[in-house]
Amino acid sequence: MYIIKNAFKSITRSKIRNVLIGIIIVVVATASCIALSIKNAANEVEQSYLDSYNVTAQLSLDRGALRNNAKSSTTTTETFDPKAFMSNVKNVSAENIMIYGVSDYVKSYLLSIQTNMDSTTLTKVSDTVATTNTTGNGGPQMQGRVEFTNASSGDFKVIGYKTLDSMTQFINSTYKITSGSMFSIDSTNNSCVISVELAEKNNLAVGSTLVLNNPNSAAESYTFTVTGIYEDTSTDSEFSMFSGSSNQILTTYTSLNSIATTSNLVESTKLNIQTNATFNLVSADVVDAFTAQLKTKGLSEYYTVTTNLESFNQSIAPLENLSSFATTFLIIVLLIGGSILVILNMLNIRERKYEIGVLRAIGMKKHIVLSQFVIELLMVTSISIILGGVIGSVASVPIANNMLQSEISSQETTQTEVSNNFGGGPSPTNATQGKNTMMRAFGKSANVDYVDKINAVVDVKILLQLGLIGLVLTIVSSSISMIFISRYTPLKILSNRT
Amino acid sequence: MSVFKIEKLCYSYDNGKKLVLDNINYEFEKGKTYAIMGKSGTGKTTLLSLMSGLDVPMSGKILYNDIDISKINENKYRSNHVGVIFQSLNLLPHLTALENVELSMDISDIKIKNKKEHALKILAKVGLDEEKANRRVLRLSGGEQQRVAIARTLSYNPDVILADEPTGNLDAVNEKQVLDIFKDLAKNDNKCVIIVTHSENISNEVDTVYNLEKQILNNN
Repeated sequence: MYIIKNAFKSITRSKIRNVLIGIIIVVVATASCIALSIKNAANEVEQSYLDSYNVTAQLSLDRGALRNNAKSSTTTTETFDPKAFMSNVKNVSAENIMIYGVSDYVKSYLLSIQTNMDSTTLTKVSDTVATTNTTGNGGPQMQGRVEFTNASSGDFKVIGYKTLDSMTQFINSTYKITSGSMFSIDSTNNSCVISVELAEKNNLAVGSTLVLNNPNSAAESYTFTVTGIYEDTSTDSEFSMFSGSSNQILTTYTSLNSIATTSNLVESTKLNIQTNATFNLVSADVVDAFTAQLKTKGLSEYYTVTTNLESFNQSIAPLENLSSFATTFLIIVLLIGGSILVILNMLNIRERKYEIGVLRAIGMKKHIVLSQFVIELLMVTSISIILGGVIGSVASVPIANNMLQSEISSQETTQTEVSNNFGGGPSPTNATQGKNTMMRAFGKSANVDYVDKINAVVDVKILLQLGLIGLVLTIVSSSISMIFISRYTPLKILSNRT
Repeated sequence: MSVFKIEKLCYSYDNGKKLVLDNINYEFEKGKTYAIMGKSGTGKTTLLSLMSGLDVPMSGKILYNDIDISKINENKYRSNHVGVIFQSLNLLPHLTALENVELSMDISDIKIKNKKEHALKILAKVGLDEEKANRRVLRLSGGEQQRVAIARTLSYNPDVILADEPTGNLDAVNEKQVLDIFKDLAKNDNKCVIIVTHSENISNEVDTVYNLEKQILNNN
C-alpha cells in the first residue's frame, strides 16, 4: 500500500515531467483509439458486407487455354481450323448446369437459354444485334459462348427462363410489365413477353401471335403468343442505345428447349442455343472447392469459373486502404510514442538514481522499487489512456468517414482516368449498394458500389485494446528502469553520488 | 555476548591490487558504543559498508548474532537488523522528516499500529518537534537532518546502529547532542552503536575505540 502512496507522491512532486509524459500518452492513446476504431469498423463492415454479399459464379470459356492448346496441337504442315477445333470443345448444356447446380456449395442457380431467330412478319426495332446476357445479378454470364457450331445470326433474341428468379431485370424493376401479364414459368405453349417498342413497331398487343424462323432454315418456324408487354426503364442512355432489349422475346425455358429439341433433329441447320447460368454460392470461401467439384463433374478444361468477387474487392478497396492506413499509422504512433516514453523514462531514472540508491540502501527490495516506478507510470498512463479514449471516441467517427470519403474520391479519380484512357473501366457512381446495372452486358465493368460509411465507434473491445497498449507502453518504457535497478547496487549509486 | 563479530575479514579494490582490510577480527556487544578511527583511506567507510551488507568481503565473515550476514537476505538485514546512518545522510529530500521515518518503517517488517505516532515519538526523542517533523528535510539544518537520519534508523528498532562520520558537518553543540543520543541509545535501549569517525570528542566519549592502522583493527 505504501508503494502506491509513494508513487502518488512522486507523481505530484514531478508535475511537469508527468504532465509531459501524460500529454504524449494522450496523443498516442487518441491516435491509437482512432486507428483501432477505424480498423475495427472497417473489418466489421468488410465482414458483414462479405456475409451479405451474394457471391455468384459463372462459367467462362478460357480463350487463352484454347489458343495455346490449338497452337500446340497443330503441326507446322497442318492448317489450323478454328471451327473444327472449337467443335471438339465439349459444350455446357442446360442439363450440365442443372447437374452442377446440385451442390453443397450452391444456394441456388439461375438458368436461361437463348438463341437468335429471324422473322418474315416482324420488323426489328433497330439494327442492334442483341447480345445481352440477362441471367443472374447482371454479371457476365457464360462470357465464352457455349455453342460454336452453326453460328447463325438473327434479328430477334429469344430467351427462355428456367425460373422467375432468373428474370432479374423484372425483379430489380429495370423492366416493367405495362400491359398484360408475365407468362407462367411452367408454360409450354410458347407464351412470351415483348418490349413496348417491338409491340408498337409491329402493332402487337396482348394476345397477338408472332412467328419466328430458324435463321439457318427459313422453313422452320415457331409461333409465339404475347401474354405481356414490358418497358425498359433503364435511364442509362448508353445502355438503352445498345442493349437490344427492344428486340428480345422472353419466354419459358421449357418452350425454348422444346423448340431447340425440334431444331436439333437436323444437325446442319439446328438453332444455336446458348446457355446462361449463374450459381449463387454459399460463401466466398467455397469458390475453389466449387471449381474443383465442377471439374470432377466433367466440366471441360477450357472453362473457368469466374466470380463477382472482383466487384466485391473494388467495393471494399477504400475500406481496405483505410484499414491498412490505420494499421500503419497505429504502428508508427506506437513506435514513436514508445520511443519518446523510453527516453523520458531514461531521463527520469537518471534524475532519480539517488532516490533508488537510498531506497535500496535502507532495505527496499529491488522488485518493490521497480513496482513503485511501474505504478507511477501506470497511474499516469491510465489517466492519459482514459483521456485519449474519450477524445478518440469523439473524433473517430467523423475522422474515419472523412478519410473514407477521401479514399473513395481517390479511387473514383483513378477509375475515371482508367475509363477515360482505356474505356470500359468501371464507372464510378454513388449508387446504393446492390444496385444492378446492365453495363456488364456490353463487356463493361459494373458500377462500383463503394462502401461509403463506417461506424467507427469506440466499443469495449477497443477500450480493452487501448488498455493493452497502455500496459505494453508502460512495460516497455519501464524496461529501462528494470535494467537499471537490477544492474546497479545501492553502494555503487550512492558512492557515485558522493 | 557479542551481537556482531568480524572474523578474518579481507577486502581489496581493483581486483586485489589495493588491499584495504586484511585479516580483521573483532567483536561488538550490545549496550556499548564503539568508535572506529583511522586516517583517510584506511578503510573505515569500507568496513562500515561491509558490516551493513552493502558490500561483500573478499574473504572472511561478518556474523550477526552468530549468523553469517551473507546468509541473511540483504534487504531484510538492512531494513530490520542494522540501522545505517550514512555520512551523506541519504535522506529523501522530497519527503518530510516524518515521511522519511515512516518510509523506513514501511520498508521494514516492524508491526506498529500507528506509524505516524511512533515516528513522531522517535523524532521527538532525537529532539525534533512536530513542526520540524513535518518540514521537508532540505528545510532543516544539518544537525536536524542528522537527527532525522538517526530517527530513521531507530524507527524499526535495530540491534546495531552503524554511523559514518555522524558529526562531521556539525558544530560542537550539535556534535555533543548527537553523541548524547548515541550514548543514550546504548545505555538505555541496549543498542550496539558503532561510529566511524575522525572526531577526538567522540573517541573520548565512547566505550571502546578501534584504530584502523596498518589494516588491522586494534582494541584501544
